[in-house]
Amino acid sequence: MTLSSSELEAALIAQAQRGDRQAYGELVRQYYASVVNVAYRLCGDSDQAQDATQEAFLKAWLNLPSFRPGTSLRNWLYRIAVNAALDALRRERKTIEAAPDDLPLTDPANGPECELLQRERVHLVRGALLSLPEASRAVLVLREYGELSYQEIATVLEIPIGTVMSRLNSARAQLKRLLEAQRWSLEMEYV
Amino acid sequence: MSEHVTDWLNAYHDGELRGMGLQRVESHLTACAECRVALEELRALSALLRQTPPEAVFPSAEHFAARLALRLPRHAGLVPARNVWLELGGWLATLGALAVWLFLNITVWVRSAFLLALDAGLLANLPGLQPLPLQMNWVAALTFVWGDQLGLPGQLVLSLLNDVHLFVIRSQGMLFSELLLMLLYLGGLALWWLRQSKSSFSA
Ligand SMILES: [Zn+2]
Repeated sequence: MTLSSSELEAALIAQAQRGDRQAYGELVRQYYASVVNVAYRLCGDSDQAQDATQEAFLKAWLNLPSFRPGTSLRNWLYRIAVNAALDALRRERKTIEAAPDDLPLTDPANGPECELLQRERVHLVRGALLSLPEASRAVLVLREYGELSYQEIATVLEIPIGTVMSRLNSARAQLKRLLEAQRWSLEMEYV
Repeated sequence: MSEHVTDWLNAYHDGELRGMGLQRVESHLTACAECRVALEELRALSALLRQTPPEAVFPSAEHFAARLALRLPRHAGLVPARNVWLELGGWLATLGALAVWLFLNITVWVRSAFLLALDAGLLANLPGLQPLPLQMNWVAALTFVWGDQLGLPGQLVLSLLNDVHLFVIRSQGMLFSELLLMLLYLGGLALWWLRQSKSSFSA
């Protein structure tokens, strides 16, 4: 008999709740990438994002007994991570630095022009996200990078679903204005 | 042409519309080029956000999990054994203390009202309900020995002292029981609060 992935996850959670560190490690490996990405898009800083992610997984381990089986572990982790990331942002408000030059962002198969364009795009997206107010940035990040539904975002952030919609609308409208101001055409090749 | 569906484009783009709302937006989109462009822009924006890599490289999940494992406190994550009887007892003690306190206070109020009514002579025609003078033993003894020599001021002072003693005796019992009840109640609350703060987390 084989277990479905959700049954397997439930079993891992139950084991981890009883203090099984290996089972928790499995869960960490499974959710690390999405959690660190959400934290990064919120903070815009890789050190802060990694610290917040580590803090979130530590906190999750400590509070695992209070996690209710049958609810989404991913969303629960997102909630802890979002709070850790926002705390980190408030603790040390870093200025938005220019992109470091030594980052392996690009596919070496692409030409130098493409690389320049890519670098510009990466920088632009990060700056645009950081220009949003934290409240609407959190909603947008959970939607675009966390891939949560409106209802899930409402639960994670503990806000009404109407607020999710209005914050998402205003975040996207603001990004659109910003990108237009930078003369970045949204009809480029990212569709 | 019907009104633009600008406000609903985000929800449509995110796959959050159902039924009538979905139909309304879809039929409007077939007819309105302006809203189609706006929708395309939303799609392009999402694609731009999602497909743009982070400006940093993160350690692999394997690496992160290994590093995290070193920092996990050994015993955390264990469900603390819940003692149902202790919890139930705590609740019963708290509620019981509250109930007894209410009962005592109501009794005192009723008794005061009753005594007031007696004093005012409202219940005078009820046989057997006349207030009995309460005299402390030492006052009785004093009166017995020196009663004749005390005179009116002396008797007044004595009766005042008698009342004070009576009050102290009565209120002592009351005060003591109220203190005890308060401790019981606060103790129950403190236990509950401790459990709450231990089991909940402020993420
Ligand atoms: Zn329209």
